[in-house]
Amino acid sequence: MGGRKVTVQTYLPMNTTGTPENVREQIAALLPRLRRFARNLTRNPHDADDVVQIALERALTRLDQWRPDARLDSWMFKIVRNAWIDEIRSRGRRNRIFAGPEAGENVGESSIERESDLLSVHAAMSRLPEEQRMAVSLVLIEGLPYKEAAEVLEIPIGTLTSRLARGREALQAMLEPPAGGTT
Amino acid sequence: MSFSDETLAAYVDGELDAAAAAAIEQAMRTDPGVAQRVARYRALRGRLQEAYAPELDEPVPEHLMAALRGAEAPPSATQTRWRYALAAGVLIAVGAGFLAWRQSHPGVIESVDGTLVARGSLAEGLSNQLSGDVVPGSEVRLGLSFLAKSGDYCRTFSRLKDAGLACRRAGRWEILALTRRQPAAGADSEFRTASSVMPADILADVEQRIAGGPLDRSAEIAARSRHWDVNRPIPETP
Repeated sequence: MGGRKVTVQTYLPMNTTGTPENVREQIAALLPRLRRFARNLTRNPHDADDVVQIALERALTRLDQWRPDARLDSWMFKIVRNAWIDEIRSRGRRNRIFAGPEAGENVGESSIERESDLLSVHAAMSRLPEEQRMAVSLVLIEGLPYKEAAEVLEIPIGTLTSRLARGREALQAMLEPPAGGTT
Repeated sequence: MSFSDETLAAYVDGELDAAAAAAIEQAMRTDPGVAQRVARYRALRGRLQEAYAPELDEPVPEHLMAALRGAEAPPSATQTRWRYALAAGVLIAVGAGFLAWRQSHPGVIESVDGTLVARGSLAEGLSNQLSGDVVPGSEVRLGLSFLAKSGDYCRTFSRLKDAGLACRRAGRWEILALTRRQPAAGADSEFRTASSVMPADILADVEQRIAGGPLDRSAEIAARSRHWDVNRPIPETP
């Protein structure tokens, strides 16, 4: 049984930061979703990664504030969103962001003709007002329950559902052929 | 019975309680109009998820993994990148290993609400194989099994290119650490030694979690017979 009998104690120095390490691992697993959310938030992949990085740094200083009975993804989404709000403020470039040239990055010029479904979904999303885009992003893409999404955005559930309804309507108008147009 | 758009959307979003959902399902069977409206919301949700799924497969930049580890240096220099690569611990291993793994083994490991869960042949191996055993046709090797301080049974596993640590929780194998294995010097002996060479970062994780020592073979057989659930009794064996 040679190989298996090796005692683990011989290998490495003890590291006793059990819980925070575990949370870090879970955050690592969330990273692809955090980046995706941040892209929907900022509509710019570079800003998105910057904001995720800031959020990670903040999260590390607050690991003790996260309670295991809370959802870690919601907690992180909220930190990402707040990081972005602070970032906009400090850069003082809100106007540029909302009419940024990067917003068109994923938008096909002939998006009405829809070269591919995937392109047109991204294009349609990027045209939603931020409020609606966030509601759609958190609920329909990231799969958060209404309650969690409302908490991330710091709004009442009723506000969330009405933003969501308007976002859905706008997306359907952009993505579905007009009723009676082509049958 | 008529339903508002908001109610039907909430149904599609999984926000209704069982009774309200059942009422809508009943209506969908009898009223094609309701069924059609629900289908429209479902289609939109499905379309969004599909369009945004590929972004989850993009590799996470190293500077983000480093930020999560609390690394101090700026991300861009090649030199620092090498340093990070050399210092890669369990954390980077989980992320990068997972991505590499998922690219090469779709379906074997899955992220469920941010938790990595073993599926398919890996879950099968974790549940059934004993440590050190070679099972023909299975690439999975089990290194050691132990009872964790958290009260779960955990096992280290390895494959040709990956190794990791999984713990049995809520009837599934959660992957708590995952790393790429360095290829062995002699390509021939690589597979044969798979079970005994466990990457140091995985062993560090074991070291943190283990309560007591590794299970011996008879303890492993007992654990397997109770489906790796400490709350189950060990069945009597003749």
